[in-house]
Amino acid sequence: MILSQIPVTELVNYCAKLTLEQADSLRGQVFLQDSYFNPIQDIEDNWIISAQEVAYCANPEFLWIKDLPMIPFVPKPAPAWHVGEA
Amino acid sequence: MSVRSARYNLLQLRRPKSNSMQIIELDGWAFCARASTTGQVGIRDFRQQKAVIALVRDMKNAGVYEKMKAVYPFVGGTATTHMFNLKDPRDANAAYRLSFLGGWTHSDNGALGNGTTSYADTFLIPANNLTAYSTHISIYIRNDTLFWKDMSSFNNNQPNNFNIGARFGTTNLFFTEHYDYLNNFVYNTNTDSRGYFLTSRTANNSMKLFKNATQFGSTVTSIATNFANLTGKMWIGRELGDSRYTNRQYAFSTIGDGLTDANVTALQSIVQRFQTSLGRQV
Repeated sequence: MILSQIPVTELVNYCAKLTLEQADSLRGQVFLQDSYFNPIQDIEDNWIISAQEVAYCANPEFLWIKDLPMIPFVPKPAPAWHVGEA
Repeated sequence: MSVRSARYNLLQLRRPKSNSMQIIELDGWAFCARASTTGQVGIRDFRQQKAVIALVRDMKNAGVYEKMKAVYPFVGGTATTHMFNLKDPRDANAAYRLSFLGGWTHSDNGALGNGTTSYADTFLIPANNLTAYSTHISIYIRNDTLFWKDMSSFNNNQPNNFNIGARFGTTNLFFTEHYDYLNNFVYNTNTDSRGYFLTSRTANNSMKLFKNATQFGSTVTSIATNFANLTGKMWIGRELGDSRYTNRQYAFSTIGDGLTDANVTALQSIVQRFQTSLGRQV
């Protein structure tokens, strides 16, 4: 599944899966004027970017991300609030 | 429209004025003009220009403008116009210009995080850039969601925290950890994350938490000692080392010196008037 196959209302539930090399190539790069990619890892340690970053990308250098496979977004669990806290 | 001609037109519309009034307007105008990376006027909408100029005027008249290190009006509807600091509208990290990372949606109503990857870096480090034991942070939120820390400076070294969160978890926690979470915190409850949230420290033994200028919880009088440890950059919408990213829409934010109760009350009125003039008040 790619971005264009996902209903707009469902976009927040999906993200684009990257290879490590792709994540490294995007980190800190502009996808839209004054907006920067922020590749992160999901619960399975997949490198991902959000559907918004894919949808809004207007940087000709990175239009290949429009064809990335989209997967459901499952975040890493949040850390304990404070060290030692359950 | 060039910056020069637009500035001339604006000033012609607003004459005659005293010298001090013109200086105030020029501060507001400088922001409107420079909120751009193209050399063209950044904020072109006349209503938005008027709102920014009124914001500067009101903050100066209330004596709070000079207490600010960074003011983010989130006006203009794009990442470019939202990223500039009203107090120093240069496109530079040293001017505490925001850097937007991840999937934000920018509109005339502010900057909306996607809850997945979005946060903003102010590049302001409290220990280096603020006054010891006289500090505040504030943020205006337009949507009601559960989230975590709306603003946070953290250096991965507990318990040194400087943060504020409007509504978190099943207990609807409204909180600040203003220098540390062991002795200098307020944890209270709030069932609606919409509004203007602010924490202010006016001395090493006086810290408060406010929503819409109403104090929540008690004044914290424990003596804070660790200002020099606040070496993490202040982020909006995320904390360093955390996997949670904001899902909130921000429409105003400040960082600066500690604010008195009177300052907080005045700022609340000013910010709400500013939002109302833009048709985005909550």
